[in-house]
Formats: sequence, structure tokens, C-alpha cells
Amino acid sequence: MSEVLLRGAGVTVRFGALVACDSVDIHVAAGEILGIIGPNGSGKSTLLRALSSVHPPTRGGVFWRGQEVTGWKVDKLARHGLVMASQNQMVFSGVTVREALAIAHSCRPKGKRVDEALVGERLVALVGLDAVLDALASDLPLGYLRRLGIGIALAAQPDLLLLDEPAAGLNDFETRELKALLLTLRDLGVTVGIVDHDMTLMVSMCDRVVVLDAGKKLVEGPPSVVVKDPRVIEAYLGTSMGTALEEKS
Amino acid sequence: MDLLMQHLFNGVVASSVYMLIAVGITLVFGLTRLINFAHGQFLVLAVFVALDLITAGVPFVFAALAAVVAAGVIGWLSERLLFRFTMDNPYNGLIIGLGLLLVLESAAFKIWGGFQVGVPAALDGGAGLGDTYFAWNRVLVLVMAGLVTAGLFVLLARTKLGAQLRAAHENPVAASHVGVNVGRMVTVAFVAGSALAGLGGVFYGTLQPVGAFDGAHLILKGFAVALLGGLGNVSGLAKASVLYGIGETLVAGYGRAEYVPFFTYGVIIVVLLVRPGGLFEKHPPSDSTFARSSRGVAHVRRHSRVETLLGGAAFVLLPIVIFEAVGTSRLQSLVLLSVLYAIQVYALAYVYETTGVLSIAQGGLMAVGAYSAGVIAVHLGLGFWWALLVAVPLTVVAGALLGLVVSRCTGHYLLLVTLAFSALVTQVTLTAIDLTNGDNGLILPESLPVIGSITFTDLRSQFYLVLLVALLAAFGLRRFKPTRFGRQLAGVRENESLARSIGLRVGRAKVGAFALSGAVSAVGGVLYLYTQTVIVPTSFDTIFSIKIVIILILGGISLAGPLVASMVFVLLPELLRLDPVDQQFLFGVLLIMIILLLPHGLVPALITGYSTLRSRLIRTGHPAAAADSGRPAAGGADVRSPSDLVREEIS
Ligand SMILES: Nc1ncnc2c1ncn2[C@@H]1O[C@H](COP(=O)(O)OP(=O)(O)O)[C@@H](O)[C@H]1O
Ligand SMILES: [Mg+2]
Repeated sequence: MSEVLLRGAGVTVRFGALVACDSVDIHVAAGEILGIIGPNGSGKSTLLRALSSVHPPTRGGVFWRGQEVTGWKVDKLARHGLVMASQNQMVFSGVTVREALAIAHSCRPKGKRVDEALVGERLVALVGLDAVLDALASDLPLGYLRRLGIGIALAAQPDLLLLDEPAAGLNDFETRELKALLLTLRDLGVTVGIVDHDMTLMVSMCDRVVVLDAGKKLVEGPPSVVVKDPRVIEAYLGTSMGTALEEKS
Repeated sequence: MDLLMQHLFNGVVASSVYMLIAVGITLVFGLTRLINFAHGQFLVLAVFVALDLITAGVPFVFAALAAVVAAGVIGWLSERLLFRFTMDNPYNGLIIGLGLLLVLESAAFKIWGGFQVGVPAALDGGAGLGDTYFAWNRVLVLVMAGLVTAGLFVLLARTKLGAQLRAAHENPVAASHVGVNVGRMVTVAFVAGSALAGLGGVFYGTLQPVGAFDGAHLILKGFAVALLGGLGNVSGLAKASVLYGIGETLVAGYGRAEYVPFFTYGVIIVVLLVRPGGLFEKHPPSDSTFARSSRGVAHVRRHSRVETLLGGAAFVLLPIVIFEAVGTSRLQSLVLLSVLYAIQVYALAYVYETTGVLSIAQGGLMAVGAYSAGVIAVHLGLGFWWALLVAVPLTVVAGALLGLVVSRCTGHYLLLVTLAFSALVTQVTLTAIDLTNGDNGLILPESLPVIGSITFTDLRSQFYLVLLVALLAAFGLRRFKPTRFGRQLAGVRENESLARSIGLRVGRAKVGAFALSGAVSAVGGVLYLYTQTVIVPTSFDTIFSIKIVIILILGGISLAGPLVASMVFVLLPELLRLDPVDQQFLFGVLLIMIILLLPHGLVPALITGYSTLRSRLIRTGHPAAAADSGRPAAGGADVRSPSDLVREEIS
């Protein structure tokens, strides 16, 4: 088994009386695409925020390459290789795409080892932004905007990229492009942890899936097995995704 | 030992008054995230009203009541007429509060004159206990303030109004859904907070004299207490005010009265550095509450090459034309002064544009530069080059320190911490008399160096030197844009939390920007010293810093804006022959009007007007050509409005 990059042990996040994440044990191994799924409000975003130190856990520990990093500052963790791109703060909006990527490159510490595929022209080509380099980031259509968000995160040369609902609002074509991009990233050695509602995307792309329900980890395993699990189907019962799951099983 | 008892007693009494002030600040802040700078001036108003009535024979109780009502009414008016319009943007509210403070101060001066006055105590006499003397008046103040505060707690905890206030405080959206009229609650908080300030004012007036210009100073004290207790946290306040009141009294009692401001500003800066949530807050406010979030669509307006060139030419030529055109040397020296101002505006604009922090500390930085140059000239007999050599690094360090504090705190605290910084520097220049000559100021024994055949002794050569430096500053700071550091700052400006999340040390970047601004500020300060030859602490006080902010807002961020606005700003009052108090009144009104009516600044407004006009004209000629007016080729100068940025920041 390959090296464990990130491990959350008993991650618990409380908001007042609400326990958004309840003793979740989770890990991401180098080179995989890990999917996190669960009904709305099950604590997926909260878990990602806890793991990436955006909102540190109330209890429990986060370990990066075996070293405890609980409560570290977000930027420090990012410099160590863990970057999260969340859906609501993806880009530098007042500048052109070119400038936004230049800004992103400037934010990387000077001495950091760079992967040649994740800088300059190569990065632009990788995320497919060639055509819109001189457009204002705020004018971009959603599909491009998401790719710019990922491009900005990649400029930091992450070893693990956490994505919160990158496919939300994308059409089928854009979603397929996103999937291709994430698979390419995995081949380039960037590990990916992804939360999304698009079951087709998640099942076809993820190497392993963790299911959350009401803040607790419900099941974990290969996607094809997990979606047939009766507990998972029950958790989703009555939701539109439940219907989607039933169609698959 | 017994002296200590006396200090403790006096401290507790003072703290009960600060409590009243801070409760008002915190009530308003809790509901609106606004810190009303004019709050302290409501207190001053109450003192004057109470004194006038008592002098006219009205009994103390009724005079006090009238003063409370007066303060409440002015609070109500300011909410209805001004702050209501900035509710969606507390940062603009802060600036409006500053404007209101300036207006009310100068109005108070016009009406009641410049002398400090006290309110005759309600009770005479007192009781001695050992060496400690308990004046009845102080006992009364303590008891009354205690009762009022306790009453307020009961009101908040037990009554329907209190419940509605608390609901609006906790979660305005949810509160409005369950039928709480949040807008009305804001009005209630304003009126109640201001009335409390009025009561605090009357009590404060019986303890020590108050003058027309004490509002700024009092709001800082009240703010220090509110901050110590945790803004918006009413229960932390009581402890905080006792701590602060006793601390202050001990500083004044065992040290010197002049040290009290150091205590006040020190508390503000240290609390913001170490415990931004206040001393008693278990969980500091989470980042997401205060941090600047992604600001959505930013308005980058780009201008065509021709417009940029025209702007640049106007920027270079206009001051020269005006300098050569005005006949008298009095006016010429004012044009020179306005360029000196402009240098500071460029330094401020840089920090503002890059970090989004609208700092009211420019005067403080300039003072560090000018005074360090002055001190080494007067005491060591060292000249201009030495001045630069010492002043620039010192000011860079001061700027970096300021940047460090600023980068540790967010949102609404920023303005206050910069204000505290500049007030602190002014206080140092006032207090370190051995070095700075205090109020009397320093007179420069040196003159500008001779370069080649130019002696820089006449106004004209000095003007061209200063203008050259202003140009270098404006263009030089722009040169940083395409560098790595410049890009990092662009990241901070465009989306601070994103920049942080991909690994940028945001704090360091901000410190760098402030340090750079400090360098420019220092050169400007040294030139100020060497062209004006006299510096006094008030040359660089808070009012000066506020002027620089006004000029920045007036001119907007563009190449020519600061220079043009500086000239208007410095020459106009002179041409209108206004005295300093009238000027202050005018500044205040201007500041309020700009924020309310011209959020883009004056110069950008003119440019926009011109662009609109042009595109209209072009459109009538060539329908197809009109399309470019929106976003022509890259490479033009960006004109961003400070208040626009501010607006986006908060949303
Ligand atoms: N900052 C917050 N404050 C209070 N409650 C929150 C906060 N963030 C999330 N929650 C609550 O935590 C639960 C989990 O939310 P979230 O992690 O966003 O779920 P998901 O991403 O799976 O839809 C929800 O009930 C949500 O209301
Ligand atoms: Mg979510």
C-alpha cells in the first residue's frame, strides 16, 4: 500500500450544540482519488475544512505524512503540500486569467520543488485555459471559472488537492472535462480528495469512497461496492440521489 | 499604601464612566458592526449642554436629563440621516463617523469656545477613611453608573425589547424572519448608546474638565475598554472597564498624566495583537466573521492609451503650470505644500491599493521620518543625507511594525489600530521633550544640500525637487506591480483568503507593503522638514492623517488623482480664507458627502463623466466603435474607487 498522505483521527467539529462531524476516521493515500459523499448537510464540507485547517476540528487530530498538523495555519499546511479549493472562493476575480495564474505562482514559497507540468504554459494547457488567458476572471463562464480555481490551487504545487463540489452547476460536457483533468492530475502524481453530488462522476472516477451521514462515517470502500450498500441507499432514501443510486444497484 | 487605596477608588469611579461609554459603543457595534467615531463627541456635547443649563440655574438632575436627551437625539439624527445609508458597509460608516466627529468638534468649538470646562459636581463634600477621601460626587457617579448598567442588563435579559435586541444581535436574518424589526432595533441601539454616552459625559464632566476637541480622545478610551471586554460582548465590559479604569489611574498617579494616552493606545494595540476577541472571549471571532472574503466582481476600469498619456501629462504638467501661474510666493509655497501632501497620498494609496487597508496612520509614519531627521539635525548637527540615511530605515521599521499589527487584525479593527498608532506617535513627539521640544517643535538648523550648481534655497528649485520626488514615488511604487512581491500583494487585494489557502504568508506581504509605504513616507517627511524648516507634533497629528485619507478618497486611485486632489485640498481653503476650525468643518462635511454621494472619488468621477460623454459622441458618429468604451486593450491605468473596494471587501 502506498504512503498515507493525510489522516484524520476522530475528527469532531461542533457548532454549538450541533455536531457537524462526529469522530470521523479518514485517510487519503498517495496517488489515489478519494471521494467523499453523503446527503446534504452530512458534514462533508465541514470535514474538508477541518482536514485543511480552514476550520480546525473541535476534537481529534489531523496528520500530514505522519506528522500532527492539527490547528496549523492554512497557509503553512498549503506550503507543506495540502491545498483545498472550495467552491465559493475559487479565483482572483478582478484580474485577467493570466494575471490570476501569475499571482498564484507568486504565492508559492521560493525554494519549493516544482513539478514542471504545473507551471507556466504547461499548467495553462493542462487546465485548458489557453483560449481565455486575457479575459477577466470575473467574466468567465462557470466551467472555465472552476478550471481557473483548480489552476490556481495547482500553482501551489500541492501533493494533495481537496476539492469541494467542483462539478456543482457544470453541464455534462464540462463535467466530463473536469473528470479528465482530475484523472490526468492523478497520473501526474497529484492526489485528489473530492466531495461531489454527481454520482456518475464519483463512481466512475474515484478509487475509493467514504460515505458520511449525519456527521458520522457510514461506509468506506470501492465505489461500486459502496453504492450497493443497503445502509448507503437508506441514508439517501427519499433524496433525488437515492433514486440515482437505486438505478445503479 | 493608602495612596494606593485612593488610586483604586478613583480608578473604579472612572471605570464606571468608561463602562457607560463602552456599553454604547458595544451596543451599536453588536447590531451593526459599526464603530461610531462621533460617539465620544456626543459625550462632549452632553458636558456643554449640562454646564450651560446648570449655569442658567437649572438643578443638576434636570440638566443631566436634558444632556442625556440631547445626546440621544443627536445619536438618533446621526443614525437616521447618515449611518442608515452605510448599514451594508460598516467600513464606510466608520469613515462617515470620522467626518461627523470633525464636524461636531468644530461646531462645538464655534458654539462653546476652546476652553476646557467641567460640570459642577452634584454633591459637595465627602468622607475620609484613613488617608483615603471618598468624595460624595464620586460615590454618586459610581452608584448611578452601576445602577444604570445593572438596569441595562435587566432590560436586555428580561424585557421583550431586550429579547428583540439580543435576537437582532445574534442573527439579524433569523430575527427578521420571526418578526423582529431589525432596522428599528438599530435605531434603538443608537439612541440608547448615545444617551448612555450623554450620561457618561455628564459624570465625566464632574470628574475632570472636557474641551471641544476631546471627542476623538474619548472614543479611543471607550474603544479600548470595549475592545478589552470583547466588542459586542456586554458582560465582558464590566470587568474590562474596571481593569482599564484602575490601570489608567495608576499610570496617571504613579507616572505622569501624559503617559495615560500611551496606556490607552498601548491597550488597543496589544489587545488587537494578542487577543483580538477581547480578554474574556473564549473563542476569538472566527476568521470567517471578520476576514475579507472574496469580493465578487471587482470593477477594473481600463483606459485607452491616449487617456493614460493625457492623465500622465496632466499629472506632470498641472502642478508646474499652477506653480508658475500663481503670482505670490505665499501661493507658490502652498503649491509646494500640496505636492508634499501628494507624496504621502501616494504612499497611502499604495498600501490601500495593495492590501485594502485604509490606514489613518500616514501622519504617524511621516512624523517618524521628519522627527528622526529633525532630531539628528538639531542634536547631532547632521545634515540632509544623514537624515535620509537614518529616517528611511527607521520609518520602514515603524511601517513594518504597523503592518504587523494590521495584519493580525481584520475588518473594523484596522481603522482603529492605525488611528491608535498615529495618535501614539503624536503622543511620543509631545512627551519626549528632551528630543523633540514638545509643543514648541523643532527648528531645522540645516538646509538642503547643494547639488552641482543648484542650491535649493529658493522656492522654485525646492518645488521642482519635491515634484520630482512625488513623480518618482508615484511611478516607482507602480514598478513593483509586475514583481513577485507586487503579485503577492495583488493576491492579497483580490482575494486574501484564497491567497492564504494556496500558501501565501499574507501577514508578511502586508508588512512589506507598509514598510515600502513607510520608505516613501519618510522621504516625504524629510523633504517636509527641509522645505518647511519647522515641525511641531500637530503637523502630523490625526487630523493630518485624516486629511490624507480625504485626499485619497477625493482623488481616487489613479496616477494624477492624488496630486490634483492635494492641490484642490490645500489651495481651496486658502483661497476661501478659512480659519483652521472652519477648514476642519469643511473636511468633515466633504468626507461625509464623498462617501454618501461620490463613492468613486472626484477625479475618477470626472474621468467617468468624460468617458461617458466621449462614448456618447462616438456612438452617434460610428455605432460600431462604441463597443470598446467598456473594456479597451490592456495596459491602461486602473482606476479603482477606494470606497468601492471597501464596499466589495465587506460584502
Ligand atoms: N459555520 C457553521 N456554523 C454553524 N453550523 C454550520 C456551519 N457550517 C456548517 N454547519 C452545519 O453543519 C452541518 C454540516 O454542514 P456541511 O459540512 O456544509 O454539510 P455538507 O457539505 O455535507 O452539505 C449542517 O447542518 C450545517 O448547517
Ligand atoms: Mg457542502
